[in-house]
Amino acid sequence: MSLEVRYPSGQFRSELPSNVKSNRTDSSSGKFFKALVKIILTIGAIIMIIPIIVIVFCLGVLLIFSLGVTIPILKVMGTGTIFLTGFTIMNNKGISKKYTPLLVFLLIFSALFLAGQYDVQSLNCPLHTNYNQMMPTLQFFVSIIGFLGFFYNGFILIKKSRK
Amino acid sequence: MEETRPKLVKFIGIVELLRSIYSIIGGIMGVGILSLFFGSQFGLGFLGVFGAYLLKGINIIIGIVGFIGAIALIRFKPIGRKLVIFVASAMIILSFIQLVSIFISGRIFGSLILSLLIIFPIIYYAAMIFYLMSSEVKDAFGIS
Repeated sequence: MSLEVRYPSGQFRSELPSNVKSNRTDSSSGKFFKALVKIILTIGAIIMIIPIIVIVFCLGVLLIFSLGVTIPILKVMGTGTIFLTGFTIMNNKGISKKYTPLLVFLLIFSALFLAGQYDVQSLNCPLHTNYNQMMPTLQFFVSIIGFLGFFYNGFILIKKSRK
Repeated sequence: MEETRPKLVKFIGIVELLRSIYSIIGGIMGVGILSLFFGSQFGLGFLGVFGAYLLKGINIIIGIVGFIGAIALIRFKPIGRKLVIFVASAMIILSFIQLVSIFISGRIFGSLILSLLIIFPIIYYAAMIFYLMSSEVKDAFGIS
């Protein structure tokens, strides 16, 4: 029975010269640890993904079953996208396509953050989130963002049509 | 020297990217990956409200660094490896703080699963550091 296990790729480089007898044990133990590390990383990464999948699933369930309540959030996303796209195009910057999703994401969360009514304790499984409390503030943000978005879009269209 | 790009590095990068996004969102919303793993951060007594908010803040900062690092790691940029090692070290320290705090509060004796869940990220991130510092990954990143 030999403890030497051959692994197809990757070997640890030892500082000792290869002809030293003790190096053989170091190398095999190194290989063993490396295999162990790879197994831990693979299993650990899968375990790490599980809570993220659970949260995504819960958010999906939340969005589907309370679509009526979450429509203002979708409004924020839509109008925010219109506003930011319009604004970036107006300034002739090529970042519109690249950074708009990120900016929208930041916008939504800053809006939610500023709303200050977000039920922060409910994300263990966010099925119990009560969005009703933040609706007035969100509506206010939606109105402002929508107004600015349509204003800038209209402004661009007028400018382009004149050219 | 043949330049190999291990798939495990990419896999770790993707997982780290997802985890960091979750950490940022969760941190803003009041929870974090740590609290999901280790139970509620609130009501620990040892940390108190300030400690819980401090942990949340640190979670967000680490999440942002992890996000940048993970993207760089997926693209096999050398800075990504360094950033992810930094994030992994920070996560080990945070996990250790959680472990100590829960141990002091005496709740660790109540649940074996909880204690195992606390130790798991320490092992995972230690393995990640070990792997990212191995010669295989260094070669892939072009570091001699």
